[in-house]
Amino acid sequence: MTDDLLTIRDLRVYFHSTRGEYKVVDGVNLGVRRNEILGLAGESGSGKSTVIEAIGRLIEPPGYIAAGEIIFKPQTDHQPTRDANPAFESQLAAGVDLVTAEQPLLQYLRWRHMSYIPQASMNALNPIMRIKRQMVDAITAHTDLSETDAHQRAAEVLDIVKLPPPVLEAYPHELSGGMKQRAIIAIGMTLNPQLIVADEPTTALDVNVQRAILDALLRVKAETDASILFVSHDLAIHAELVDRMAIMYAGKIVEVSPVHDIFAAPKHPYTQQLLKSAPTLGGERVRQETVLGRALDRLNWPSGCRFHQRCPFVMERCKHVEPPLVEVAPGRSVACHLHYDVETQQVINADEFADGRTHD
Amino acid sequence: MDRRKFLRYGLRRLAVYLLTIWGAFTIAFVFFRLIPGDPIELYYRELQAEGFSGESAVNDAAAETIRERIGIDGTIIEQYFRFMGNVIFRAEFGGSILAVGTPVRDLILRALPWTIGLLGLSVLIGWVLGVIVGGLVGWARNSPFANGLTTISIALSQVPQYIAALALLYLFAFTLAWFPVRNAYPGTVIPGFNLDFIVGVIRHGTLPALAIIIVSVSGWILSTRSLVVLILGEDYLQYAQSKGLPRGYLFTNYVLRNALLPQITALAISLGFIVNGALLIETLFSYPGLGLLLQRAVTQLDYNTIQAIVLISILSVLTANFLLDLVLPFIDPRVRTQEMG
Amino acid sequence: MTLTSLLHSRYFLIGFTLLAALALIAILEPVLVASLVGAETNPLQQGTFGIFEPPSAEHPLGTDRFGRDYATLLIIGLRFSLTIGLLAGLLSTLVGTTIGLISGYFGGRVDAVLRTFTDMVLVIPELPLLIAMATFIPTVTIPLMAVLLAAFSWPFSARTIRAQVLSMRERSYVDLARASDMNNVQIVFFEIMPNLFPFLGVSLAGSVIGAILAQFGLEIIGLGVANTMTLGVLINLTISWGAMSLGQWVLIGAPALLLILIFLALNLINIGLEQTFNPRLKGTTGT
Repeated sequence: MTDDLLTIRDLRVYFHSTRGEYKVVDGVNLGVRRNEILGLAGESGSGKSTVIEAIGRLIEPPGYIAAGEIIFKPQTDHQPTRDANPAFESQLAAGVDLVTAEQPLLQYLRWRHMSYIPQASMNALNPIMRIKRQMVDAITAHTDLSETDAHQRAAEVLDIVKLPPPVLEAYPHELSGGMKQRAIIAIGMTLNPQLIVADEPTTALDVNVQRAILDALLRVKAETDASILFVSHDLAIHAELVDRMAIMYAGKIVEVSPVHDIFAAPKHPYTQQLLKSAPTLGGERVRQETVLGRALDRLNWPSGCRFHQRCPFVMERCKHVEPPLVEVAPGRSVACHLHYDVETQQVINADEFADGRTHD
Repeated sequence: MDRRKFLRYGLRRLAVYLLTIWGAFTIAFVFFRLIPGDPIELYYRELQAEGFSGESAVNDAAAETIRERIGIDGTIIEQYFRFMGNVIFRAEFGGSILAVGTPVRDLILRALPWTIGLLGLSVLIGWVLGVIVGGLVGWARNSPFANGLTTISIALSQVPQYIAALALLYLFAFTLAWFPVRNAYPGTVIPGFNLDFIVGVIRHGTLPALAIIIVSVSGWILSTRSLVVLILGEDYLQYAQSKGLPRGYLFTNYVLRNALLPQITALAISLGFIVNGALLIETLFSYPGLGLLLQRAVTQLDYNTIQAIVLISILSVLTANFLLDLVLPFIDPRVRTQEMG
Repeated sequence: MTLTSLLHSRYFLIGFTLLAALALIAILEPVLVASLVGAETNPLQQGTFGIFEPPSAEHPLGTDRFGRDYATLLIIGLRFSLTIGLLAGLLSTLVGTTIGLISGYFGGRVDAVLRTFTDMVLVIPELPLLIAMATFIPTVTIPLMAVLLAAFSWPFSARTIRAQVLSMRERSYVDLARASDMNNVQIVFFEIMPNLFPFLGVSLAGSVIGAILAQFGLEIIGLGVANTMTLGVLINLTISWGAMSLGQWVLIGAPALLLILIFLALNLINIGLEQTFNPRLKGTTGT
């Protein structure tokens, strides 16, 4: 067993409907290491946000976690708060499955050990509560800090994301989109959690504001040693921010690698296509879903490799056998028959596919 | 909040309020003059039918006397200025036919406390109960108990208050005789601050109040539930949930508090419409408020009293809206920013 | 979203079936009445049968104080209550839709004026004014009653429709229509109207409820349509001759129940419409 902070195994999140089960996340395997920023990329509808919501146990009916485990293993000597619960802490030290964790434990670990930066942060703040209150309520819910100390802490974290103290007294509608997003990042780090999951925190913001957000996240990591699981469809932002990167397609992870390797030599044909369609940072942002053709039917995924209908290197095997996610080089995993022979269980040296130009 | 900004805002709302009163009263004036048929002729015919007047045709001189007494003599322009001057500046509605010699204003002032007491209190109780229960029902929206309560509320909210009152009256007053059938207090007690009177008022008020509460509470349950269900789908709630806040705190400070804002507006509107709501319930219980007064005025064709009650009912809606405008900036920060910059 | 998807709404189906059943009874009124009391008998004629006869095969609900078959009176009352309600509702929806369409489609100053007017009418408590008018109008006929009722209920439709048109005006198919040289009238009728049908349904059902309720209020005061038997008149009549103290609860309960069923049916239809065509409101209707 690895010592990863977060280990996701075979996670499946389905949405029930009268027409059947929408398999939005369908067998995800992923690990988040300590003190790293892991990027999760993929088209809209690939299931990225749903993975994040599953980690936060925020899936609402008709959605449900159909299978899998999410082992969360924070280091419990990390910044102990005064009202820490020894029973919960020892459970956490041994690793807790977030899928099955009981409500009291969830409520305990939320924000203290893991915080969440939501996708639509424009509307993530209660419109009729001051920012101060929405920061302090999380602090007082989890620590026995006094109201004054909590205010102190709130001002501190706002400073880290470069927001001035008057923001504390403001209501959400008095802030700009970028300010709200930074306030939310600040709220996320008030208790020094070890894991921050951020769902498209830069989407719908202009480039200058995006820069400020990225700076804020990098500063958060530097200040708190937290790991950040960062979701975005914007590859340029991944290139700027993350240490490792996971590519998601059709409810599954197809490739995980250090970010440099992914950009230098993508292994999965889907990753290759994705990179080709991506704009450079600061360039015009293109909607990913329009680049790669129409969306797949999530009620019935294609058999075999889910990418086979679009893959330029498709083989007979791809249509019937689902490729597993296997480590094919140090630190690099990919789910593709080009790189791993499932019958012989041998890694195939497939460098000729590396730049994705072979069949152009 | 900046006191000067609020003062400026308040004065602006006051100006709008006064302007709307003027507009609405003008519309009401025109309306009354537009009614086809001559109230005097109608009144005369009624008198004849009851055998008070031997003459077969309307006597011009007598008609003119009545016209003067009601205040509908002279040209329409004269009437308008006299009407506005009397009503707006002196709260003077003319003499009544219902109780000859008593000004309409006195009749209204006598009836008003009963209507405000019965209706105001019932609406308020229904609101408080409905918002709390509706909030909980929305919060636990997937539980069978909550769903059952919602279904019952849907059915109950379709029962007209009058019919609910009929059922209660039949059951608790006529059949079981637990509560009195009519009036606001027993004829044997002396109105004033004494125990007999207070107990009597409560006993007499229970059934009409209950009818209003049962029906209105189900409406508030449904509307609060809808608001809560919408809030449960809001991003800010999911986010607050992810913060690991205690569930009770989440419910009171995020769900209920946000649902409360639109419900306060709705409450103000409901309170504004109490004269409208009082009409039927009061006639059924012979409860001596504005509703009963209106019904009696209708049977006596008492022009001035009817007109006055219509004006009062409009005034109460406008006043409720005005008061709401004054309160809203204190409870909704968004209104504060929008209205006072 | 097509109209057939309405059939998936349980609320709509129950409401529609209920309303259809009530409407059928109302339409078959002459036939039903003839079969109950005979074709030659005037069902409103007093003294035809004994008074306060208990329910029997001949008189399913018994007879009233004036010796009239009560089931017959009920059917006649249902017919006229529904007729007046529907007439007023149609009129109100027509006026409201027209004003809402003009207001929403043209916007600007036209919209500002119409909206102020709509808001003005909306704050006027309808019942006292209706009562005042009904008191001094010598003879209130059915069409006149419908006009009176509609005069105060159209603002609700106007508001709903205006909001919808406003959001639709910005959608691409309206732009497309503009680009292809359709004139305003054509755009309104061919592009906007078809998308308004669910909201017209909601408005209509809502105004019918409002109209029947207001009419009921008038009748309780004794101010209904002249010489017309409706459910409200029946209730008022029954109460005024003391059915309560005589313990004749069926005679009050039956028309009351019919009224509630009408309201319930219309409201269920509304809930169904909103659930089907406005997914954001799913599970939230009821007020």
